[in-house]
Amino acid sequence: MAFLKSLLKEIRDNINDFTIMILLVAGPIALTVIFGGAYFNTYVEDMPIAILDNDNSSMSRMMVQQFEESDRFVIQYRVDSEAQLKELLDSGKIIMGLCIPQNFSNDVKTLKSSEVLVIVNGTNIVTGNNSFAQASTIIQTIAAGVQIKTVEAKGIPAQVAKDMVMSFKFDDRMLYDPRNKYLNYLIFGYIAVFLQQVMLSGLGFSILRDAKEVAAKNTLGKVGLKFLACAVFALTSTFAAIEIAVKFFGVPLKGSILAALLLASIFSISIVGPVLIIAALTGEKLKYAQISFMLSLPAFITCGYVWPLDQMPSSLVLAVKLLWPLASFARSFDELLIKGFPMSSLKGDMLSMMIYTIFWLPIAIFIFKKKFKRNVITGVPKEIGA
Amino acid sequence: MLKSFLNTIGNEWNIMMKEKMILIVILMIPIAVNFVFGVEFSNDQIRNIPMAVLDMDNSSLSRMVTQQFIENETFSVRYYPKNSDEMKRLLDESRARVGMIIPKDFGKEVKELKSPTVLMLYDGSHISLASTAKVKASEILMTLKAGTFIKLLEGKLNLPKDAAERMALSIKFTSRTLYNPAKSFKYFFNPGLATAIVQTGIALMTAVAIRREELQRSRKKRIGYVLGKAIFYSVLGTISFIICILIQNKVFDIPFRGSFIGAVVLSTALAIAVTVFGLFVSLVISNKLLATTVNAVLFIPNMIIVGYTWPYISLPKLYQIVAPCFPFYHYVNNLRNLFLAGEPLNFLIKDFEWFGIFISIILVLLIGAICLIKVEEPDEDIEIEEEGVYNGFSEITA
Repeated sequence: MAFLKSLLKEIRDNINDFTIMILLVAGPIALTVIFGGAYFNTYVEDMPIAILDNDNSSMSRMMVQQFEESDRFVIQYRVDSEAQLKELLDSGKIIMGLCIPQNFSNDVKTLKSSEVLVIVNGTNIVTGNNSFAQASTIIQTIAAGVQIKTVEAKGIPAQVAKDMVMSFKFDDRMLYDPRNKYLNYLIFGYIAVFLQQVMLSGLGFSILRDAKEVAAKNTLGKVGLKFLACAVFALTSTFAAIEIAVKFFGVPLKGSILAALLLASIFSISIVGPVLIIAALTGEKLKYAQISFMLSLPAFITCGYVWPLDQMPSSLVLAVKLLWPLASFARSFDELLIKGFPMSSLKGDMLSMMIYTIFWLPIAIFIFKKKFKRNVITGVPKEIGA
Repeated sequence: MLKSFLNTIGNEWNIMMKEKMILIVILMIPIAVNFVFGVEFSNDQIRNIPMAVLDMDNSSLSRMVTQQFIENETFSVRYYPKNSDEMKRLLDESRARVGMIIPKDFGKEVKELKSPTVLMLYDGSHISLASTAKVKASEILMTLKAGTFIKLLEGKLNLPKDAAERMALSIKFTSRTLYNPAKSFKYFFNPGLATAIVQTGIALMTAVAIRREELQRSRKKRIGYVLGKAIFYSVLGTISFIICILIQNKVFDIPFRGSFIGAVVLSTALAIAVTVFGLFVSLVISNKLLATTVNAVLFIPNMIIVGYTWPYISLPKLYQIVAPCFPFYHYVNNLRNLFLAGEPLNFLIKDFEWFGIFISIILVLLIGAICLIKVEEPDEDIEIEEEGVYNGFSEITA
């Protein structure tokens, strides 16, 4: 009964604290809408390109036509030399240039093996890869058509010619997210980071509000109460954000929400250690906010979402996992939701977060008590932000 | 005004040296994070993607196909499942990210011109891995296909090898990728990441830089005060930007092909723009925690919404309108172009003009607001620096 009373008091205190409520309730939802909106367009389309057609034959015009009809490209310029093409690429006005050589049509017909050149601006890998892949598909399709006709010209029936050219086929199947959308790839990872940030800020502010009292006695119990009073809001808004991602942005959801809740709860508990340590090191709300905001970008970039953990040096992965629990959470959370990751595959990361908590929480409580108890005893004038 | 200007710079310097927070947020964290990012992306390209192969044919041709994947450093063929259920389980559990299924009688059907199909399975939940794997797998399979076609032409049409090759490669497709030919993710990400963290640091610290209790009645002194703050944080921010750019270039070998002076001027413009905006927020929002949160929300997501990774042309219309309002939009792609493409300075003129207009407008608003603000304290020459360090943070309330 006393526990419930204390919990209700903590929840009431949070509700009365405008900053904490904005962070816990509006944070994940608003950020999901803002970030999700940026990736709302499915594909990279209308990439500006330039054409250098040195042949101007019916075959070269047919090739240009294919690029014109593709949704991925917009032919912005038709140039007369490779130098002009290079200038357009240098200035960033185009993402790709297509060069069709002189005598292209004749060379193809007389089997002189003509070479179509695609020049891509590689500064942005996303546009570079997309333009290259699409150009490659168009040119390979045209080349296959030409090959079939050439074989037919040797007196081979059309179907046999086709089967010869298509000696074997390869089909690509993109599992779990057939449209391979950036939004689907990123959004659950972002939501994982939003949960981290709102728990970090909300719980940190709540603890610093009563830091001396929390440090005085029964620290674990008091931190636990504050954790529950924050987690109830943070987890609710996180799962509301997931609902928005699924319903509004059409992100596929194959996993179990209950399993996701379990994973998110274990992660939220593991964040308590860092919260107490940063609170002890900074001592007051403003500095705490500054440090926690500064950590958001590196925490996301190093958690294995943008760049897979198995591609990083193992010493860095070890350091990241030792210092911060997001690397054990973000990818699993995403794969659970998108792929329907089985529980058996989550065990490792769950265990890793539990070990993290068992290791860091006692240390964090010790540091926190030392900092704030000392301030009470010595009467250090530096007040905690009320 | 000059005295107030110099006093403010001196005072801010003292605070930085004693409190350390300004130093930590604007310089130390960005530098440390730059080293972390540099090490993180040291592999440059994605390699050793775990792959599973289900070879239902086990002919010399199917083994040759598998061998090509084994020899390619993009893939690490780790699993040979016995059936498609096992293959699916490997992909479901993320133990394999790519799967290849070679059908029964594959070799025989190729010879009989039955055009069999190799099925490639990609884990679409991880787009970086899936797209890298797809591009590389297509390259391997297209090469194998061309080779098989040439052999068929030699065998079925009795053509000599060179004639068969010319026929098979009647249209050659060659590509040239400029500025980042190896498609290094380090080159792609790090110029932006390296500087985004500095921008965040400037935005967070300037959000609390104006302390109302430091304002004096004389408007001239107030202008000197705000200009002192602007210069202090702009200089500090610029230094941090330059250090981070140098770390990426000198320590982590990202080529810097453009004008370094251009990068310094561009970084200075961004530092001033973020500083004056941050100071303006600090002035109009007296609750320091709220001002910090506002600047955090405005500046931290910049990497996503200004078209640095996900291209500007693919942003929805509303975002395309909003993105150019952020200083980072006029900075970050230019900086990457200076790094990788050696962008000439004349391409930056429009962005410099934008910075000039933005800074002028915000500065006018800032000076206007600082002149209009009501000051309660009597007009005394407060020599804050003589008092030692002013602990602005202790005044903070939620």
